[in-house]
Formats: sequence, structure tokens, C-alpha cells
Amino acid sequence: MSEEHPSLSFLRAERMPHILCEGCGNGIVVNAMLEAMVELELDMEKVVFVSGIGCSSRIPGYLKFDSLHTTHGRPIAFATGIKLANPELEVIVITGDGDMASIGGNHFLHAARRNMDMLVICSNNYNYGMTGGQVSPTTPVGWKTTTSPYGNPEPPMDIARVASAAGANYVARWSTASPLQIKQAVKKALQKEGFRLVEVLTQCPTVFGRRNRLRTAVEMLRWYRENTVALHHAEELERQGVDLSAKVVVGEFADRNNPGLVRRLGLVKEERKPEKREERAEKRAEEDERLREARRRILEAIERLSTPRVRRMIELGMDVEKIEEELLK
Amino acid sequence: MSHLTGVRFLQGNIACAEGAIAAGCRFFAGYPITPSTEVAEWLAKRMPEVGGVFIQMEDEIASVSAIVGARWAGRKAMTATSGPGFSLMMETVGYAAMTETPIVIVDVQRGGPSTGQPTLPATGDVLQARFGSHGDYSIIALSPNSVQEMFDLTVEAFNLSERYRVPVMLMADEIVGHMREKVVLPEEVETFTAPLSRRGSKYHFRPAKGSLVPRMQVFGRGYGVHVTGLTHDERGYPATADPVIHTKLVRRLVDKIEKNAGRIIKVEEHLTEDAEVVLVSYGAPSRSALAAVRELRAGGIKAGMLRLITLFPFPCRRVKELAEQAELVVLEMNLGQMLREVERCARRQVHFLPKIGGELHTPEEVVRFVKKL
Amino acid sequence: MGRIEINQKYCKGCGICIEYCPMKVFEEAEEPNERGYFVPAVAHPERCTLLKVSRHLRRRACGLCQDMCPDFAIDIDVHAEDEEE
Repeated sequence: MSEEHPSLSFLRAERMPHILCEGCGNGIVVNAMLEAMVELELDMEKVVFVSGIGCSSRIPGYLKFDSLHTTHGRPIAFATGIKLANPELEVIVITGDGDMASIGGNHFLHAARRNMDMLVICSNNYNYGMTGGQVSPTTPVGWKTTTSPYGNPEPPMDIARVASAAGANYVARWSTASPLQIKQAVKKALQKEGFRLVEVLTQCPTVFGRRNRLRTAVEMLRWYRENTVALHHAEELERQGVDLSAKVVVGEFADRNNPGLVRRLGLVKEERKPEKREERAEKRAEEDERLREARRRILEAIERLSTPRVRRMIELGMDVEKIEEELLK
Repeated sequence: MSHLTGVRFLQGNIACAEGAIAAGCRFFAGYPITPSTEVAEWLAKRMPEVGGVFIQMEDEIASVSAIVGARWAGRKAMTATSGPGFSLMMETVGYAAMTETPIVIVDVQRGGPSTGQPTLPATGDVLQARFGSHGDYSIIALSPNSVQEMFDLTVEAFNLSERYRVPVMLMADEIVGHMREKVVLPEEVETFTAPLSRRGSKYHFRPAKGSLVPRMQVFGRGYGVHVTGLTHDERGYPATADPVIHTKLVRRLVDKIEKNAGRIIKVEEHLTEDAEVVLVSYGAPSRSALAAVRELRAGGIKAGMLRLITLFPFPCRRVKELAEQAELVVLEMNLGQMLREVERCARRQVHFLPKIGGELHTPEEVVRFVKKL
Repeated sequence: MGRIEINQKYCKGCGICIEYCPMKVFEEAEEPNERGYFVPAVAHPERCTLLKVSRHLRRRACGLCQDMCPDFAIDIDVHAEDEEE
């Protein structure tokens, strides 16, 4: 077991510490997600993160993977293009409640409808945090934000239920108060095809909690623990006529096995047995060694057949392509 | 499995679609809008035939976003639209410029503004092609005037987008898009693809030596590249608070087109050597302009024509040269867009014959206008 | 015995680890560090389940503090030698 925090091997150290606030829930989502990916032994070179605009959308910039940090609301559309162009890529969208459910609502709806193959991790902190704490489509009724100073008058959107109704293969909602459930949901989702959504209620104490008497991360996490209800239990309570509008319902809202769009378009490659990480690393090392050997042989041949000019270029450490370029000039 | 070849009689939009296939386009995402819909319909059928992917997205913003994503996953990609959709795509045009993503956007222009005249031609989006998104950046815009050019310039658009890692707009119009003409589709078509950087290199957005364009990456090959629309340093990391980095980056995005303008600009000239009046036009109206030049010459007037094939970068130097020898008359199907570029470069009075409403300039009215000068 | 260390460069003093550790290993800091953050003190590492159990189980037992740390600031070395005070 390594000494440092398990997430650090996946973070771009030269960019740390990150810009997220103290106590922000997004870091917890990262931990859970990375653990799930490690446990599944994913081919990390094939993982592509796609994000929009917002605090959670900044996460991929800190992770050592291919990533596309796009425009506000549109990561799901970009992700659709990436996945269809190369179905072998594992496309994970990191987005937020404002990015996905407000400006991105149309793309969210249609990707779920199409059952477009991607995993979407939506960090729902009930507001637009990056811009200072404005109301969002998921802000609960009556809560205060900078653009709902008298208390939010609008009923919020239930992201998980909308995704489920639209036809997504997997929809789960958990809060950062239960990191193990987040990891398990991500793990399960990564083993399915089609549109998979893991909505995570994350604490934003700095610009949201503070305006609603939950000034610290610890207080917000306590609030989640005290106010979440498991889905099956919620359904029973609703049947009894209990009003759950002030509560947060968590659980798995959809778990289907319908074909994803990649399969419907006939783009699924033959099922391959997933390689173990060690085998892949070995193969890559062998390939690199072969290339180095070939390079060496080419340089030797050039040396043998060469003029003083070429020998000078080799001495200067120029590699084969540069030497060719020079000779062709 | 590749593009159609041989001598054919095709609709402009179809020729454009086949040009995309010939150029190596293997991803199309679009949204129906008159008069561009045939491009999407044709490619819906053809993309799977050539091993490509077609998807009709939920709106134009999704379409242009999907093609940017597809290019980063390694496939050349295109979308097609008209005025209202073109407007919607502008934020993403800026994103493609900032991230140096090669994409092609076809705008089959129609009467505007707003919903306007969906089934009639105009050339009212040309300035938007250059300045439609916010901030400073540069793009390349081409203007076809025949079904043959719908094929040829689409190929050229892809090659330019790859060479300069920039969005390229093909500014067609409803006439060129919907008319049918003889086309010669060659077997061999020259294509260019943005060269990839070495695995393990970290400075993904540093221009290649001697160039203003960085080498490209593709997702899934171990580059670990972070692509963002935020101002970024040469590693691709956000560096929004640094004026030096921002200035360097944005200047390079503009310079890589403007400083290479000489290599990119294409014009067609008829009888300009001794011309005393030069008709400056592009797109469908240029056909009327050519007919007018012939008639004027027959009547003893030394007329010539300059046709803009690249709208942007704009052939400023050539326009200035011609302005020094002749009167310039600009013909376009809008109330004065490329006119501004011509005036800027001519630095003298320029005559203008606009026509909106959806009808092409007739050679007769052009002749009448020139005779009155 | 192992070692738990909080990375002074990354920790922003949110206090979640203090709340979530079932064994109350962490305690609130008295003084802020030089960056102005109240980095928790590792007051009772001897209580830590991960340190006590992991080397026998050969997998990570607990680690809840690390799961819940939004700044990836908690480093735990199971195999570190005891330091003489």
C-alpha cells in the first residue's frame, strides 16, 4: 500500500492544490469515482473525461487523463461525438446541476432518451456555485440564493426521475454523506452500457450552505444524513401519504439493460476479454522496446552509409525523422 | 469504400456531401434546416456505407459540439446548416477556434434575418462567418459558385481545417445548394490530416518548430491531453489570470491564419488586366457578374471580374491593386457585408449593387448599373 | 506502527475528517498553519483501524478519512516505522 492519498497518483501534481473551496463535496466524488475505476481495472488510457462549466467541471483539468473541458451545458453533446467516433473510449461526463439540468437540459434529455453510451456524474449542489451562488433548477423551494433572496419560489427538477423517465439504462442518486454508495454506483454503472447517470448531492457550504444556515461542510453533511430517505422506503411513505418534499430521496431509480445507441448503430466491436493492467503495461513496454531497437538499427545503418554531415547530425542527437528532413531539403 | 466518381449530374448539396466523403470525413452530426437538409439526408445514407457515423442531433448546438468531440476522437467531421442554425453554432465556433479543432461547417445561406426566407437564397451570413463568435480569433471561409465547387471546395475546406487546425466555413447559398449541374468527380483526391505529436510530449499546445500550428492529439492514445476553452498555457492547463499567456495564445490563433493568408487566399479573375471597371462578387451572383462582364466587353466597356473564393482571409492586397487601376463594383445578396472589406482595402469610393429578396442579380441589371457609372 | 500525516500544502481545514473518523483520531487545531488554515492535528493515530488491521488483512480497512477528504490531503503509511519521541 502506497503512503500517499490514493487519489494522488491520478492527479496532476503540478496543478495542485485545486481551486475548490474548503469542504467542497466535489473532492469526495473524485475519491469515490477513482476508487471505482481502480477496482474495475479500467484501461486508463481509454478513459476520456468531458466536462462543461462549473466547479465540478474543473475536475478533469486536475486528472491525468484525456479530457475535454467544453462550453456551458454541452458536455453531453461533445461526449456523444467522442463516443460515436471511437466506441472503444470510456466516456465519463463530469457536470453539475446547473450545467446539465438548466442550459444543458435538452442534451441531457436526448442522451437519456437515446440511451447514448456514456457515464454522467452530476454533482448537484443545489446552486450555481462557481458564479457565486445563484438559484438553479434543483434548488429546493424556499431556500435562499443570490437570485432568490426571498426564498426560491420554483419547484425543483428531480434530475434522477427525469433521466429515468427518459429511458436511461442506469440512474442512481446518493449524497456525499455516503461515499461507499457513490463508489458502488459508479462501479455498477461502468459495467453497463447505454446512458448511466450517477447524481451526487454535494455540499457547497461556501456560497450556498452559508446562506441557508448550514455554514460548514460538516453541518451540510449532517443535514444530508438526517434528511435522506432510501427510495424503496420513500415509495412506501408516499403511499401512506407522508409529505417528503423537504427530504432527499436516494437510491437506484433505474436499472435496465436496454441496448445503448452504439449497439443499435452496429458499432460494438467484438466482445474482448478485458486485459489485466499488468499485461497491458507489459505489452506497451515490449512495443516501446521494439521501437527503440528499430530506431537504433536505423541510426546504425545511416552511420555506416553516411557522410560526415549525417554523422554530425547523429552526434547532435537528431532523430531519424529530423535527419531525413534535413537530407531532403 | 469511398466517394462517388466520374461525370455526374448532381445537386449542389449532394456534391458537397460527396466532397466531404472524398476528403476523409467519417462523422456527420446535423439538424434539418432548409435549404441544407439534403446534405444531412444524403450522408444519413452514405456515412454507414463508407464506414462513417451519422447522427441527427437534437439541435444545431448539439450538432456542432458533437463534431468537435468526434474530431478529438480521431474522425474528420462536418455539419451543415443555414442562417438560424449558424447563429446558434457561434459559441462552439469560438470553442473550436480556441481549442484549435479542425471542423467544417457548411452554411447554405437563405434569406434573413431570423426565419426570413427559408427557401430562397441570400449571402447574408458572410460577416458572421468571420466575426460571429465573441472575442478575437480567425477562421477560413470559402464561397462556392457551382456544383463542381461544392465538391472541390468542401475537400479544400477539410484540408485547410487540418492544416491550420481551425474551423472552416463553406458559405454556400440556396441556389448553389439546390441547383443541378454536371460535375466531374475525380478518383484521386488530395487530402491532408493534421500531424500528431509524439507520445510523451507534454507541451501539446506549443506550435511546431517553424510553424504557428501545434501538432494534434487524439483521445485514447495515451497523450493525457487536457483540452479547454479557457485561456491555457502550452501544456493546455488553464491560465486565465495571466495576461502574457492570454495575449500570446490569442495572437497566435489570429496570426496562424492572417500570417498565412498568402498561402490560403484564392480568387478567380476574368479580364482584369486592362479593366477599367471590376465587378467584385462571390457565390451565385458571380455567375451573373461573369455574364455581365462578357456583355459589357461586347459593348466596348473594359469590364473585368474578381471572384472571391476565399472570403476570409480576405484578399486585401489584390483588391487594393485593382482599386488603383479600376472602379470597383461589389455585387452581393445582402445590404453590404463583404462591401466593408472591399472598402477597407480599396481605400477609395466603391460602388455597390446589393440585391435581397431572394432573386439573383440578372446580368441585364448589372450591365445597366455599370453603364450608368 | 505506521504513520498518518496531513499534507500541509493541500489541507484547507474543512474538518470533515474530524467529524467522520469513527475512532476520533483527529482533533481540531489550536493554531492556523502558515497558509492560514486550521489543519487538524493527528492526535490519536494509535486508534486508527486502518493502521491496526490493514497489514493483517492485506487490504485497506477503513480509510474513511481519505474517502471523505475533498483535498486528498491525508497520507497513511501502514508500514512506516515507529518514531522515537
